[in-house]
Amino acid sequence: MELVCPAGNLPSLKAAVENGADAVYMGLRDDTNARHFPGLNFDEKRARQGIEYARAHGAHVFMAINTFPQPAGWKRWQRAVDSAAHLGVDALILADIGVMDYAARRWPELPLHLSVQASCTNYESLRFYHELFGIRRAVVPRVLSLAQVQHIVEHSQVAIEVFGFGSLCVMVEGRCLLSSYAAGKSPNTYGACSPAEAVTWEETPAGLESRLGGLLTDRYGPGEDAGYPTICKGRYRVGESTYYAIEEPTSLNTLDLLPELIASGVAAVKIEGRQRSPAYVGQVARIWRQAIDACRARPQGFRVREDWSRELAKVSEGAQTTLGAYHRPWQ
Amino acid sequence: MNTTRQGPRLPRLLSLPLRLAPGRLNSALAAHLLERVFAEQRSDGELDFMQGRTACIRLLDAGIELGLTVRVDGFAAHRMDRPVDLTIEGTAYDFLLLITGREDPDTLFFQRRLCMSGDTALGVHLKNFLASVDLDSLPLAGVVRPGLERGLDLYQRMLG
Ligand code: SF4
Repeated sequence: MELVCPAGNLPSLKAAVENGADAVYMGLRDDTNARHFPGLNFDEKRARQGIEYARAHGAHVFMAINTFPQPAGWKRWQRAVDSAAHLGVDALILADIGVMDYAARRWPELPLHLSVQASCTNYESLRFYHELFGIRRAVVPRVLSLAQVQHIVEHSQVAIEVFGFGSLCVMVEGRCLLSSYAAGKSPNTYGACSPAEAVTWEETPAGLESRLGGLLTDRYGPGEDAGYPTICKGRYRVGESTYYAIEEPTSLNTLDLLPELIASGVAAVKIEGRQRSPAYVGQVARIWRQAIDACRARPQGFRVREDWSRELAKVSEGAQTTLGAYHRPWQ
Repeated sequence: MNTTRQGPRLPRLLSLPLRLAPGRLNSALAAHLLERVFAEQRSDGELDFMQGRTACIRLLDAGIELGLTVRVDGFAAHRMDRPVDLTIEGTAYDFLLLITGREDPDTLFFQRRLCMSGDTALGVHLKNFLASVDLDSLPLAGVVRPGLERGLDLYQRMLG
């Protein structure tokens, strides 16, 4: 099983590779990928350096071009596909069928992966993408249970990649009217659900307030830990009480399920977090490398080490982790 | 010694010489140093986002306040009696953790150890710019990196 790690910049890419990533994924510096933040991602020069470094250390590089172009921006998405092809990446991670069609015709040799943003949850629709565009791998959404993932793996001719660790999205991978309403931009076309220019932080007498598009998403008392200014993970007043009314800030962590994931034939496990720092990428990659190696060596005796869980919780949202949808017995 | 979750703070005595240096001088020195360290990034246009924008960096325990901006010809000091676009505050220790890459900036921010106010997009850009810099490839890397690491070790030994 391949370990796929995020790289929002060159030091993160190096940290991922140094700590045992089999592959890294990156994006270009615009709205063609789903982590569109100022100063993040790669220009051509840095991308070239990163790819060279990864190659020299035996790691693969995937380019995420996984937002949905609007008519006015179409050229930018074409350009992104072309420059990734010229850079010589090992695969493109795509979500939009127009972009997929362009890539498959223009660069027939270049392997295509289906992004989680395409939100493909069954093997029939994977077959469609496979037949039409020749996709070789698909990242499945974080709303599926383990049994559902296993069912897809069993019936699909396309290799399956799952999310192993990182932030969660409760609205089926960015199809989120809530954040579109608050930020005035759609996550799937703009590439971020809390665009930096729509976020404000302000110290007030009542506490530290975070706002998205002017709407209060949370207020933190003195000394209280703050969180990402994501609208679904804010605290809201419902009736008499104020709490995480939509979703708790927490990170997905599937280390516990590693033996089952490997046994079921999942091809790759993905770490979320291109927007995070090299320190985060290095720590998470190291732990997952150790865990995968330990599980491969002795699947029966595999135990999640206490120090792994502790370290992962430290870099998690809200300092806590969850198995997410993987453990929903009713699903 | 005071080592709450806020992390160690610089003892008064140690911070005294820094505190005595006048603010304008600190900013000018910092601008000069940054200009040398980030020459390549500036010529690659990676610092264009700071053109004409102003930032204030406050090392709370050291009592240092730096006003910085980027002009066409490079980094420059910004007079702190004028408004700034972005303010970042924290202890010298936490800033050292940040620039040596030992601690995740988001973690420091969420634990309220670094405070940011003003233009969020500018702050996020600055964070991402700093994270994208490969410390070992910088000019003066041989001086800057070991210097920073020594500073950090000193802190940890004295204040551990
Ligand atoms: S606000 Fe929450 S649900 Fe909406 S796109 Fe962002 S992470 Fe997903």
